[in-house]
Amino acid sequence: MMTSITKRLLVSFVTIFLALSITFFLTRKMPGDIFYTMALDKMRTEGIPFDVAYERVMAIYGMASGEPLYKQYFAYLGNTIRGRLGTSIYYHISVNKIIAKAIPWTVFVCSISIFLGFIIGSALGTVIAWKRKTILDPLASAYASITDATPSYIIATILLVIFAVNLKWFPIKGAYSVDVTPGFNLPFIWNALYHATLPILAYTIPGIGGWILTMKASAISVLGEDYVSAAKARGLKERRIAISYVGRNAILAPFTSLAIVFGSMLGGATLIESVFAYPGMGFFFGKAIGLRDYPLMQGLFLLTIGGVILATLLADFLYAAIDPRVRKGG
Amino acid sequence: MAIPIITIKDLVVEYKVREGAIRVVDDVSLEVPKGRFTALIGESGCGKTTIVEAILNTLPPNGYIRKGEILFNGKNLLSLKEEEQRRFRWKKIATVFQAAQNSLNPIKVIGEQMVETILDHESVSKKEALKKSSNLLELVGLEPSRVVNSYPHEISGGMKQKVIIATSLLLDPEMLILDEPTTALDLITQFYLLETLGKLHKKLGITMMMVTHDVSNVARHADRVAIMYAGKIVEVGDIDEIFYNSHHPYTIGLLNSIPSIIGDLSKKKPIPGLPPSLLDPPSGCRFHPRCSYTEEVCKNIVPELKSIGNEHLTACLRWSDITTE
Repeated sequence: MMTSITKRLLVSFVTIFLALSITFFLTRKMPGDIFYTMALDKMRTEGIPFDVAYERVMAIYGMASGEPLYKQYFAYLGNTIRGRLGTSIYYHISVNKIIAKAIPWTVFVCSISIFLGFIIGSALGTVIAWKRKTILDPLASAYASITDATPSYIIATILLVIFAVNLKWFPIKGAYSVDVTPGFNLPFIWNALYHATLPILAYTIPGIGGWILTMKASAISVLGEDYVSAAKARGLKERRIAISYVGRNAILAPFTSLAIVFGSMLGGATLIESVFAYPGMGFFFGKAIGLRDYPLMQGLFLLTIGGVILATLLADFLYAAIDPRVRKGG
Repeated sequence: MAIPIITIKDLVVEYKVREGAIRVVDDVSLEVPKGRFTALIGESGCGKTTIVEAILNTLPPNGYIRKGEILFNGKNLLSLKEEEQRRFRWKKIATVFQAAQNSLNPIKVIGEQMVETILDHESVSKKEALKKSSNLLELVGLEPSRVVNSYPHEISGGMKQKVIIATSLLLDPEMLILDEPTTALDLITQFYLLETLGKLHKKLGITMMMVTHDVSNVARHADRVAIMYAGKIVEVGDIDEIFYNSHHPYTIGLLNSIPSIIGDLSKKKPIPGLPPSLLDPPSGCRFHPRCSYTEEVCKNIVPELKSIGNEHLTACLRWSDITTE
């Protein structure tokens, strides 16, 4: 068991290293850079030629453009290992600080949405698989197909237009109002929930659909298992068969996906958070990519990668806890 | 003759398939005597498992009972309501399924699965239920302390089968139906399992009905035999009658085709041809295309299962000309 843990940790470490290196070089290969954008801006506002504007911008940010890429790479690796993610070019504050501010919002919205989606979706999926001939099946399947196929930012936009712009039931942007004090107090929590409602819905509406489909497929295959018909023949109560024979076995497969979804949540949903201008990880991701803010971009990438890897590791261990067959051997 | 515990009358079971309806069990009447060990023997696909499923009402979704009655101690099983049926199952008739290897929930310990079977039927304490489970595990020759807290994947196939037999006895059923209980087990395990079943039958006096395609399986323990061919029962009788005084060519062919380990295999005569498709069964006697006694009349008249004395029934028009040599 010890060796298998060490092995997994080692593999995770190598994966993080590789992913870091790839993102470093890929981001540098993206066309355009932040100075280019800023120089264009300066050129227009000050009416000077582009070359001059570009040089001025570089001078302002103290960027030695001649630094070779491999030197930048090693400097970056060294800093990352020491936990320093660099300074955002656009925001002029450390990436660590930006992430520390953004993470709670993303975790707040995403964990609520994922739990809601998973619980409602898998419960519905099991019920549909269990009672094959109800009206619920075609209804839920149609719902799942439509919401699963619709891009989430379109759902987000629709929600925004209907409930925030037209009906004015919910705020258009932000995570909380200026008139509440952030902290552990009831008005603030209520306010944060109020602001988070639409983003949560934008996540959960398609989420439920996806989990319905996954869980239904899984439950139907479990229903064909001999131990389910044997449980019926033993005259066990229907409730017990549905929950502890079908449900518990059917949830094993979707459970792994749940862990991975949780991991990738740290990256935030760029498009959803951008639509609601919700200051989570995804929002800054969108900004960083748009502005070619390398340090911020890499910091966010690192966190997403770390999140997924951590979640996969966690999924392995949790899986062993819910499936006794995995517990031994490893 | 003992009182029948199960009486099947004119049972017809069909499966809906793309080509229409397949009549898998065609006009079957059978009595299973109380307190005895009956074997229902037939080739794969002859409908023997379907009879079991009809008794237990566990037919697959495309199967249905077209007509007929199934009486259990005189009570018609087909008219039971759902909750009555649930209570009836396992309490009156317990089953050991084909491929029983997979009939345990992989993520629950065995003790828990046994205990919940008792608790869903009887109002006893968990402790009593566990005690009873342990006693039964011991009865089938397992070590309760080892098995109760094990998950199904932690014990061997033979042990699993014994667990399932122990589970089938949890509610003191009046009858035990065994559907190919030894499939997928090695010969030695098969032998011990059948010994265990035979012992249980003698010790508890429980009625047993075993469905199998393997005649040698039942020879030692069964005392009554029903032979099935292509959806019909062709011969029923006490085991000695069937083995030494059969009057049906299919039974004789079946017995002649059993290979023995020490005998000369070349002297064994398999029945020529293949069992017919049930979508389009042969006219008259369904065995006539493969039978060496066939006459013109066999092609036109469906032989009825009728008594020829000595509690022996046979469905052959020429039964009096046919004997075990």
